[in-house]
Amino acid sequence: MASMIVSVAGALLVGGLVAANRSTDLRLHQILSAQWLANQLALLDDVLSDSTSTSGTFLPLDDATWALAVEPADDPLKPLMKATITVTRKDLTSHVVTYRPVAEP
Amino acid sequence: MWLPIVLWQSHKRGRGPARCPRRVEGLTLVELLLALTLFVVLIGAVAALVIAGTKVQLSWGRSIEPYERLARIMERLQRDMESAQPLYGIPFAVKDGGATLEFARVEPVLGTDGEPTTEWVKVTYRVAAVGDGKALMRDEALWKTGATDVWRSETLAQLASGQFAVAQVDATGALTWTTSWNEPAPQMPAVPRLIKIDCVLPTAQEGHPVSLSRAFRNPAGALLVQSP
Repeated sequence: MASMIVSVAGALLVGGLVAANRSTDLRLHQILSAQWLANQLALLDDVLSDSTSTSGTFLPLDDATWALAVEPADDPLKPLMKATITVTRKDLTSHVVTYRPVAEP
Repeated sequence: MWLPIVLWQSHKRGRGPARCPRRVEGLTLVELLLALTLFVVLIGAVAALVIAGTKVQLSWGRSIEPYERLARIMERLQRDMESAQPLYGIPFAVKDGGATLEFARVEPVLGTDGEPTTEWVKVTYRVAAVGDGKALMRDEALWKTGATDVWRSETLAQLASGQFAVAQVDATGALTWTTSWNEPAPQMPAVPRLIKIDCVLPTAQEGHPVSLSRAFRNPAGALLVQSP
């Protein structure tokens, strides 16, 4: 009986710790991603052009990368381009979407 | 846990109050002491597990505190940047090799007559040497009383290093960063469009320093084209 209670308590504790660890990691990713996305959004040109960077890393954390994907926007924003900035760290991703005009060739 | 069961069994075996036996079965003192000891050991083991788990959880929570503090500072810096306005005499300045960022804004303050009024306030962010390390400080001063009369000063965070920079474009259109933006020359925009802070917190996690480079955009500002 006693061993059962200790086993159940231990299992619950380990489960709680795993969940807490995962939660801390997610919170860290959320904080860093918000800052990285805000940084990349600030650096994104007002008008997109061919010279706009589309990917990069965040030194010294090489495991975090960002990428920019540009595609035509749907109605009613059709004259603009939909720019999606994605931050990836480990197996977690976050993204922000903005709409910008494209430089005429 | 055993006590109710055993008592119930002894009552059942007694076959009711009408035929009360001379000797009622029960627990001896040794059995009671043994049960109590086991119960205390069990509760102690569970409590030790819970305390250890709580300590581990708190230590994980503390590991992200520097990041949370940094995020709060960035939000505050962004709000300050958005409210920065050009004022003759207080240009938007980055000086001391990028250690100081200085700008002005209008802020409601309490006047000498006790009535609320609006005043030009000089806001200064500076990376200052404090003890063995550095700290990011934020000062506010009424513009009319001068920089020496700081009426609000806060230490935002301990830093290992920190530097402000302002963006400009060179002749080829490439973005470059300068840590000196202090001359109110006519060709310079009063408020730059892009401002950046590079900072490293003294704490470390998993062997990595907590470093962050964050740019802020002021849509009303302008990019200075660097002369060749």
